[in-house]
Amino acid sequence: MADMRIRTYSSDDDQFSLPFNWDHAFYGKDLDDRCHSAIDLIKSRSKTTSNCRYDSENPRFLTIDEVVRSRKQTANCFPKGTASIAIEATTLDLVEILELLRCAMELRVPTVDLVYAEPVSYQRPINFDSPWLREFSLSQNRRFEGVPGFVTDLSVPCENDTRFVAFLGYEGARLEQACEQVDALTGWPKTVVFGIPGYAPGWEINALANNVAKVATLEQLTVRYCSAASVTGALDILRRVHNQGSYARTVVAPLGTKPHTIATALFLIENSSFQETTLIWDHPTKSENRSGAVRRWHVFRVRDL
Amino acid sequence: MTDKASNAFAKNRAEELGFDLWGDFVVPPFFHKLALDEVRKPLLIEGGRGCGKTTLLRYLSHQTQLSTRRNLTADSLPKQIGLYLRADTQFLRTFRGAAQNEENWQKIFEHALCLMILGELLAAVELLGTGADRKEVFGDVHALKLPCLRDFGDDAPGEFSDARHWVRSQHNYLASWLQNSDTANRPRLLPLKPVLLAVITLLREQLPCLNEVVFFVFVDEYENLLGYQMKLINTLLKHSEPPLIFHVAAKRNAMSERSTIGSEQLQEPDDYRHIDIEELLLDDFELFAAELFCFRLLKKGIRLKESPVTDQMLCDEAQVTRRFTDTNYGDAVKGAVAAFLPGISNEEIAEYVFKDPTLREQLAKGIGKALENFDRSLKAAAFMREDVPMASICVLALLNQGKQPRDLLNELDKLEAGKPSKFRTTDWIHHYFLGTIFYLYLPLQRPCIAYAGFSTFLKLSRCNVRHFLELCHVSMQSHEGSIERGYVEVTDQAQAARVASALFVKETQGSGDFGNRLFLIVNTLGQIFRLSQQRPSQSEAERTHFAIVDGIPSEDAQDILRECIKWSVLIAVKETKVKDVRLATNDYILNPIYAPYFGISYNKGRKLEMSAAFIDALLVGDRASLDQLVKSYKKQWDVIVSDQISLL
Repeated sequence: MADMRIRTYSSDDDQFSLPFNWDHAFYGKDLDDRCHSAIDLIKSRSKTTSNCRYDSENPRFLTIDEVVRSRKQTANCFPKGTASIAIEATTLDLVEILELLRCAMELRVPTVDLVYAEPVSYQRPINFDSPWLREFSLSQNRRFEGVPGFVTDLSVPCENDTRFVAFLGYEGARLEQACEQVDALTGWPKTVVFGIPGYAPGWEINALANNVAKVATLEQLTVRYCSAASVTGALDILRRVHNQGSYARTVVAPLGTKPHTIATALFLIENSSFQETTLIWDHPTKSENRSGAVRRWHVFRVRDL
Repeated sequence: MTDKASNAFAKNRAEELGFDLWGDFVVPPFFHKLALDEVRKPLLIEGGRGCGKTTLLRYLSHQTQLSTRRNLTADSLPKQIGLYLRADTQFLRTFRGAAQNEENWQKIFEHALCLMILGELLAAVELLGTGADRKEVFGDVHALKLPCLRDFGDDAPGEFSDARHWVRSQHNYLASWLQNSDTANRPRLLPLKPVLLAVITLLREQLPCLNEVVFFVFVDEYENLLGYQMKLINTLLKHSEPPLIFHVAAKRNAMSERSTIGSEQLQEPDDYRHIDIEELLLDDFELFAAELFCFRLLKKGIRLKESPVTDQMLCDEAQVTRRFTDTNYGDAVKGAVAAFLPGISNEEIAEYVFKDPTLREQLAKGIGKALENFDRSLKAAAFMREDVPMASICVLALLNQGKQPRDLLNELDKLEAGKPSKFRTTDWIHHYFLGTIFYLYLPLQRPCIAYAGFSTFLKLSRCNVRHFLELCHVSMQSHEGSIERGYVEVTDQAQAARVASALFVKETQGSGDFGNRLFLIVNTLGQIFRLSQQRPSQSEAERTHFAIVDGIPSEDAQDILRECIKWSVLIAVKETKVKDVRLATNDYILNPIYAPYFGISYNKGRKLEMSAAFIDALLVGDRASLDQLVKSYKKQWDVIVSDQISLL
């Protein structure tokens, strides 16, 4: 399979000035003003739309327009002969994006766009005399649970073993949890990726400050940097790490920005055979009103999916 | 300091030590209480994160017991061989959902469990036959036949040498099928006990050395399994008997499921024995910690002066009783470590305050300010007596409690003259000294020297091996030349305590499903106790625990409280000093490892009584409620906060 290519279109400000329309679009939960804007945009630019969500207690299924559907049934939600779809990535999370991309690939949809709205600000809730002034509350943490199709039994030793890539963001708790729950991780070579530059000047400091205590304890560590808004940059890092050395599998934990999560989804789709890539994911429950308004729009167009 | 020495304490998680711990495991004082040779009843091994559960299980497992580093003879072959299981729970938790009904999921889980145990069993036997010497003693394991496997799978091999590969391929097929269960063919599911018992029977027939051996299956991190998976394990516990006995390890309060697959419930003590590692360590932790300290250095080729330990002695099960009954030995080991991690007495702390210009100024300012409420003609200097520095420091608290300055001067005079004084007779020094010391340090950016010393490290770590080792690790890294000099400076130890404490505060974020919430609770409680510490009167000195009064917290709050105990964020002890007529329940102590970070005491001082409504706000309230909670205490205690804890 030829490597898929990503083309990025970005607006200059919060006005969606990009000339795109779609046959069908999928969107997720409306949690705050930014999500609301994203859903409004998608609805105004698409002929039809579907709401979509994943429940980790019922893996192998998606709920689309309030109907629980298996993977096969999910394909039926793409209108017949669809030429273009949009996946609204501000409101959808990793598993929905993965499943929808996989469906789009199987159905050979010609144009697949992922839409993302950068926030002007994030909620910073801990405002009492807390020492952890940089801690953000973007989600309630959850347990790392596999996503069928992208899960491997990590208790089975793997010949030539494993390397690990983690994208890191504002919530230091997520890396802490990964290290606590996936103990096999201790022995793997690790690459951590920070979103630098951040969406706005100074934002990268939060990701660094909130993760540094844990990162400093990791052994066999490589630190990489990639623009927080860059899908292509993150995908490039994943491909490079994956092609280095003779490791049997690459385990990815997308705990950072949404563009990095999108890159992870594309990477997993691209390398899903023989369990050579694996996802570890904590299914965060996003907090309501977690972010402010839209700062800027991005459309990531996937070619050769 | 050599690189070797600085790294002696770096590895403090079981996962970092590997599986073969032969010669690397200090046999703990409670080892014989496990009575593994005699009792054939399952164990529930409990304890907080970092207390040593996993290390113990790995020591008991075949990788260590049959280690190639061990000279194994027919006589020394262990009577029980452990098969250690730490399932990948992120994988096992995908065994659910509408794709299968619960009965099927249970069979699929049983199949996966069977493959894991079978894989371990075969690996154990292979280890038994590793090397020419062992082949001679125990027989040629590679010539073993396992035709019974064919009863459970058409493609199963009949030869031992092919069996491990078959198990792995079955495992891979299961994983692959679970990825796309709607398209691929379902694997033939193995029934756990029939398969394992059939294999053990055949192994015993062909390897007589295994005739008396019992296989122990250790299921670690039981609490991470799904409910129906716990039920299956419970069923296996209930019906455990030689040659296959199941044991589980879990965090405290984590055995939430007692039912089995049938209608029976798991009952203690009929079905299992409960072992609490931290409780068992309580009496001997000081010596055990000292031994660990010496052992880690010995492993790096460094022997502490006056330390009588040898690594052979610490790793020998037969020496445990001697180690923990010979007081000369114990005193020598503890003394050697105490000399390397010297503490500082209260008297010395007081002298240090008087010598340190900043602290002295802080004290003088505090006394001067308190005097403003009384007699402005009196000066702070009159109360700062270098001959009785501890009492002088307590004056700060006593003036703020409203004690008359002239009375205090009188008591100071008596003390200086060697006469009975209230500073001693009514325990003023005992009650207020340490609290006032923490108070003096709070506005400063440097850690309090009271956090230094081996005995203080023991209090901070409270039977938690990992916390103790981390305190040692950071101390050893703090300054070059500790080994050559033979001790770590008090100030370096205090700084290390603060650094390690901050790491553990941050680490609470990784504490299970509610890690973020637990992190907030630690920070909120830490702030509240810090506010209490910031009251100059110290009338409620060294507050580090609370009790719940006026009602019962909501069920959600009780769930979080259990989670706090499970992850050792809070330590529950039977309540003491109950005021009024209410019934005693529990005291909840903030884990002392967090004390240096917040600048509070590691002692269980005065209690904070919190209403059930406050507890609800603390445990399940939103961010605004937490904020409000801290503000309400600040207002209630009239604390002026001029300082802020610095970022890491």
